[in-house]
Amino acid sequence: MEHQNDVSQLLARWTEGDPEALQRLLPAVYDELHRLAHAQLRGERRDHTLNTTALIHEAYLKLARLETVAWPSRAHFYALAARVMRHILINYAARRKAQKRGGGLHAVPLDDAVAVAYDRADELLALDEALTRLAALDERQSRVVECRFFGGLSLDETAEALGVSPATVSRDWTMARAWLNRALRDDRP
Amino acid sequence: MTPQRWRQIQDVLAAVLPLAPEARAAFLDEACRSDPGLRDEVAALLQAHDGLGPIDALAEAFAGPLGGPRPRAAPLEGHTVAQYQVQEKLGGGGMGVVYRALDTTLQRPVALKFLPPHLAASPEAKQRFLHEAQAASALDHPNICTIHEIGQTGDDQLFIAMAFYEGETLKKKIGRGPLPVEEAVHLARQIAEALAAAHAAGIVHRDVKPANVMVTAGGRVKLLDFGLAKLEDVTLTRAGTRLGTVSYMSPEQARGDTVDARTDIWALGVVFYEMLAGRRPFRGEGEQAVLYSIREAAPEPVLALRPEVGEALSEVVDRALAKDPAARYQTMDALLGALGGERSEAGRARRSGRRWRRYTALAGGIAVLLGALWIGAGLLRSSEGAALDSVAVLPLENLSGDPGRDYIADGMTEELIHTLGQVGGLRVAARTSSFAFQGRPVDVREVGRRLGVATVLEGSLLGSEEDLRIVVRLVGAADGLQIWSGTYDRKLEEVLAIQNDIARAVASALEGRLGGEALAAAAWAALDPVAYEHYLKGRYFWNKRTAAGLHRAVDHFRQAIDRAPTYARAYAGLADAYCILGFYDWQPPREAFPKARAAAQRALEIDPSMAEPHAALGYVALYYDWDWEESERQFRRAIERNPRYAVAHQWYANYLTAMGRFEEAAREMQWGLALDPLSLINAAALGWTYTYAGRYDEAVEEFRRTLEMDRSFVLAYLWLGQTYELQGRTDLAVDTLRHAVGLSGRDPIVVAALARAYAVAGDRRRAEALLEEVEGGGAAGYVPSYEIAAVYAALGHAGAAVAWLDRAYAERSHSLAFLKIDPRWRPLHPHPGFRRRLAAVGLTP
Repeated sequence: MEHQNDVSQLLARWTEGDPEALQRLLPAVYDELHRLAHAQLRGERRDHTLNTTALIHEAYLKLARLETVAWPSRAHFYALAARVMRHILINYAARRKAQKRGGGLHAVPLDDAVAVAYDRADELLALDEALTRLAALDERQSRVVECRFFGGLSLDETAEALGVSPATVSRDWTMARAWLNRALRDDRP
Repeated sequence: MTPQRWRQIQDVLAAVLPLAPEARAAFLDEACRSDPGLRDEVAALLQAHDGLGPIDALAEAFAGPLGGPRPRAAPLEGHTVAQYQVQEKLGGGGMGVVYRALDTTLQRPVALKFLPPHLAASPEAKQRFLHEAQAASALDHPNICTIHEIGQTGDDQLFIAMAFYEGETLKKKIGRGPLPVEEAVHLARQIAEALAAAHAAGIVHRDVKPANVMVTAGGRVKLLDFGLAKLEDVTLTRAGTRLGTVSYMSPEQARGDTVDARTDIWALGVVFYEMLAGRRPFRGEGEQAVLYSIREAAPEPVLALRPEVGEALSEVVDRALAKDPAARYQTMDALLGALGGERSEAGRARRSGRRWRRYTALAGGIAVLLGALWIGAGLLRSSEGAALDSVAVLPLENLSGDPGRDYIADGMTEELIHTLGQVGGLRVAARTSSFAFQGRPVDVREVGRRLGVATVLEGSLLGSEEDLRIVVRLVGAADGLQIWSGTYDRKLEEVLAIQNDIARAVASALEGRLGGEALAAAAWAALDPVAYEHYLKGRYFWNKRTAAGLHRAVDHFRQAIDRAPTYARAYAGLADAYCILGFYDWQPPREAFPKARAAAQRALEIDPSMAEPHAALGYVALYYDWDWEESERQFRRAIERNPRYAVAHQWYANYLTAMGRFEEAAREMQWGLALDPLSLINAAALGWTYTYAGRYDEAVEEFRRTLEMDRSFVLAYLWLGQTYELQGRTDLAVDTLRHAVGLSGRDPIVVAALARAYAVAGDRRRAEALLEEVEGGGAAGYVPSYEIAAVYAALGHAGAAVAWLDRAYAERSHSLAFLKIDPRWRPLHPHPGFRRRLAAVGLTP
């Protein structure tokens, strides 16, 4: 019970703009997403394919149901989950890279987001790094990319989640996309 | 890079993105003149923006985000939804995922289809879906899949519970090779019977394809997914891609035109062909190639591929696959007859007794209507009595993810408002009001209430690169039900065609609902569609306000008149086009204005109630006859006839400006702008009124605002530069006008303005060099005498200035209307020659 209230309170504080609340919220979401992603890695799935958005959606359904928590909106959750998803995928990518350096282990036969994180570990890590650099230039633009790229949020949802207008998100996205395309291209060997 | 630098780069990038590619380099040169590093940065980002890069490749790999499909909440096997125990996934397609499930109450197997969550994203979408599905579920026919229930999960996910059939899809069957001829005919007949029953109930399937045809173990056809294809309209597919296959689309679907029952006849033709030949008739590498083949290519005759089919059946296929719907079988019954035999008694007995009716763009709407009546929803009946004689066009939403396309979405919205405004009897909410709803979710009922309209047109723009997908829906404001919808996939340059198609479809949809009563049915229905097309193109080019555009406009209006000699609006359009041609000296005023007058008078002969021709007559009186009283009378009459006609307000404001009645002019111009806030010319013209009124700061403000809408609008730069010059800010004036000269392709009027700015700035050498260019006719080959006079005035050559004014008078240049108030003539006021000219045009200093 106390846990639930906790989450609700944190959410309320987060939506009011308390960044610290977000940091404390992350673990619950992280656990759930990680569990889902991990289940995929172990092949605990049948013929349906999950991508990042599906993963996040599923996590949302579970959390929303289990916690009876009053999430301010799906969009808020997605924004949060998008950030978590980024961490998870980057972790997988980093681990994959380490594996490769270590001589390479068995290939992981997956066709979902996690598998892509494996297959494209280098690119994903480069994106993560570029996003961090972008955040130093414009924090919101990097959030927009996170929401749209890792969270699969639409323009409107991203706008709702970040509390700005869809036009702003649209412009941020255009600018960030151009910047990232350039940054990633230049970074490539 | 610092955040400040990044912001600076973005500002330039944002400004350059909306420009045409060929205009970008010049703009960058200008904008980054003092900062070559900035130019390089922006150029590199432009390149990164325009092409596909690493982030796009990654996004592609992740197969999702980036404007992609919304999360799909597929319940996992083993879960229970309502009374259904989900057992096994059977398949998934664009319209959702299908599971086999057990109905625990009735202990029978069912197929559960979960719709993608976004279909229920808004109350309207959900209601629309429910009505569609319920209409389809009311179809009771042995060859139509039985729908048990339409429900909703706790997560607001919509699902359809259908009968579960042991068997396989026709797609799977064909996958093994061509079918025996008898079996193919047998299956085609059953599909045709199912469709005949649906058509009789006013429902067009729209997505007949082998994957939607179940063949049970006993060889019986069960047709699936009635009417759901329509819902794809609201599907947020990844920009520019389609769900499912396009191979079964009819040419009219491929073109994005409205469809009727004959589209199902086509699709059945394709399916029949495939069953017989073992391959599809229209193929190609990629979607566009297939669509092209559908529109243009003649399929290889079935007979050639499989002689045993026989000529008779081959002809049935050919006729079903006629590109022109009118050349196909017109009814499923006719097709059934050709397949040998009447419609079976089983099918006929279940016919609901409704007479077959001619399907129009309303087919979908009728389906909704009937569906609603069947389920007894009272909502629709209340609205049925109300006349659908008004519409609000909500701003099209740009969902392409590219803000550079906002202008297309907004421009199309504007054009739709404009075009629909031309439909007699249809009241269209003004732009201002419509745009008040931009960028926020709206409830169409609220829109209807607040704007007092019966219907609302809403839509969105998707697509990438060269491709455009426009999805529009016409919704009844009283009940939120869809009346009509259309999806238009076109190339970017075909925006106009889409606009026309949409406007035409909307107008005819409303006309249908009105029973031809409240709409000016005679004028509209009798109108040759080709003439209308020409008229719309004429208006489109007229709006461009370029010499070439206006000449094309004249051409189109003339062609419209050739096709429809009593088409009053085309005459009015012609009058407007000649007015503007004469105004800018793009055609000698002595030729253009009399033609404008003749066309306007002819329009009024045909339809004395029109407003537009009066405005044109006022315009001719103002700029050609210098008959001030007549001019005011005509403008006032135009405004009386149609107070919402923005152009009349704008032109009347010009008159008032010429008369020095600046207060009234500004008020009138603001009226025009309020009616038509997105019109560039209106916005700029308000600034121009301020300039003549000596309210320079406000003028500059207006021009800047105009340029925010469109950075390539030459007139705004021209007037802004002239205003700077009058303010004494000559450096700014020169910069601005130089930019305008480049943008305009060295239009002599603009070059003359630059020459004058140099003259005022004291740079006589440059001024005289440009003057020489303009006097020689310049790039455009005409000599703007009035503007040249203004250059001489600035150079201090009063005599030459008056001589050029004399020439302008001889040419009857429109500009002489402003002789009295144009501040550039102030130094000439004492000059006797100038006073003589003033008197000649009926003005006193």
